[in-house]
Amino acid sequence: MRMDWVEPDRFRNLHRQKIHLHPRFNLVYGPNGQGKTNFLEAVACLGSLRSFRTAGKNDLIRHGEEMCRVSGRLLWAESERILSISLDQRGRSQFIDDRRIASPEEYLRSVGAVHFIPEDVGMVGGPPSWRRRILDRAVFETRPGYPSEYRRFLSALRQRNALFRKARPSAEEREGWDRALAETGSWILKRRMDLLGTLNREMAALGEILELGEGLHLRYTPSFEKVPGGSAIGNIPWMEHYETTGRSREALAEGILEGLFREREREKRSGHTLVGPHRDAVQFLLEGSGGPVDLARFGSQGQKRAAVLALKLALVREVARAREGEWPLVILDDVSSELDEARKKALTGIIREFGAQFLLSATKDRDLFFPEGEGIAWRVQAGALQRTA
Amino acid sequence: MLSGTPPSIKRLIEELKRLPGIGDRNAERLAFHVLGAPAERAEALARALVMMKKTVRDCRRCYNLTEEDLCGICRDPNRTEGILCIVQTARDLLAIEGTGQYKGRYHVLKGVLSPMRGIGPEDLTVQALLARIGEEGIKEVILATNLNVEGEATASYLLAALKPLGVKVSRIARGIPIGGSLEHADAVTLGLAIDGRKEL
Repeated sequence: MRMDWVEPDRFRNLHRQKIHLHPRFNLVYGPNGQGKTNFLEAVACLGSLRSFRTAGKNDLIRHGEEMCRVSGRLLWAESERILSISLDQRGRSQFIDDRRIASPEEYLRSVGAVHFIPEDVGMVGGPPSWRRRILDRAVFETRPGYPSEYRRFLSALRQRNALFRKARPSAEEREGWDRALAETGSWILKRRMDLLGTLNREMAALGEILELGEGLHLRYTPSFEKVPGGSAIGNIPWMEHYETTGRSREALAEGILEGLFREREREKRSGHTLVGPHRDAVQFLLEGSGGPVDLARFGSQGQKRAAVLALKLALVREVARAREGEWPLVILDDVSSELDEARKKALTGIIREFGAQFLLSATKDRDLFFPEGEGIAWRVQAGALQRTA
Repeated sequence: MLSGTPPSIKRLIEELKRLPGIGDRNAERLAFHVLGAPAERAEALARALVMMKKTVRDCRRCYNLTEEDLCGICRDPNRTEGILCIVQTARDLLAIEGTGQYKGRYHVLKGVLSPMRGIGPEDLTVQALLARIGEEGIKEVILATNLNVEGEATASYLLAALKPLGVKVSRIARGIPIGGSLEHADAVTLGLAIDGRKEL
């Protein structure tokens, strides 16, 4: 799957220009503040319906204009589609072949073609919700039924939380909502764990290439297995390594149910549901000689960056596998400036092996990702792209 | 609507627009249709509306709709004794009756649990249901609440509440609709359909 051309129109500072992309490597370079990232953002918006920077539409529409638009032509296997999104004061509309697609989900199912890989090292040590969201997005891209499963869970969670406001619910009423939460939540858990089963193998391989040593993986700890009363992260004994795959959905539902029972008193005090996939822990771990090492606590900046990159690249592979070899378009914003020389070289090697179309930005290093004859480079100045190679 | 429209027509249009599925255009069409019809048709419509609201009430036993003390199903001596089908609304009851598959009696809950909307068991007809189990010698209960989160939670709640009474409790089967294709079924539905498979 690849983008044939893209045309931003009144999008941030970008000139209205039809940019024909190379099927493999596309590099925009130049000094900061000229519009490199804006161009990447325009393509990401078209492919994923969200900006990877500020979410406000007013930032995307060029100052003094009423609306903005991005169009592009998507090619895959033997078909093509003209995509277009427009933003104005009323909101966003998306179109496929000039037909307005009301549901974002439907649009993404037909397109779902873009993977933006940001420099968010904060993901390693930030709140666990960030890492859960990454997993959920990946499940969404590989399993079309996931959003409806997720909505069912959220609805059970909100209802159950509302029950805490009731003075004295009967034991039977509580059981009704416990079971609703456990049933809907167990599907979320199962989907995430199924993904991790293959994702972790991929991550370990990429981690080694990116000089992280052995055994980079995500450890998923369901909230019902956490130490009672412990905080979300950092309180789990290393010895109790959790086997992420292979548990039946029913066993997971049973686990949530038991967890809810154990946490009953704490829940009553807090007035919130404390057990379920919305409270599970996800950690970046490396296998060290003395056992697994939590990168959030012991990783260097460089290791964290490389770990996030490995995760994102593993997700790209996962999506390609789920789509039967159809690679998504991969966007890398200024990624090389954060890596040391050895890792830069390793990254170059990895992306040359990927069959995906790449859209990259760089301030310098413009030769790094750029195999002879396999790509196009543009210099970006004051919102205009000028082809240089 | 033009400002020249007489107030009584406007009033009817406004009332019609409160009905589900009726927008501006449809309300206008209906209002002008009634205006053009003979006076007795309009009177018959108005009488029918008022009569329905006056005479229809809940069945004393099962909370189905009726104009008597007991509904037609509760009065029918040919219904199988000892089995109850629990539904959310009288409309759901009609849907199951439409299948002709079920010969027992019903109990209408008049809603489902929803803490967000402040609805608990005390707002449904649960007390009456529990009383009926003993009074009518009920042996089996079929839970036919909807298969969304609220309906499932209500079914789980009823299972817990009925268990101590020693009745057999079953849940309507879940699966792929007839005429539906597998590729369009969501994963949860498909999974349940596999779980609930039958030997041929």
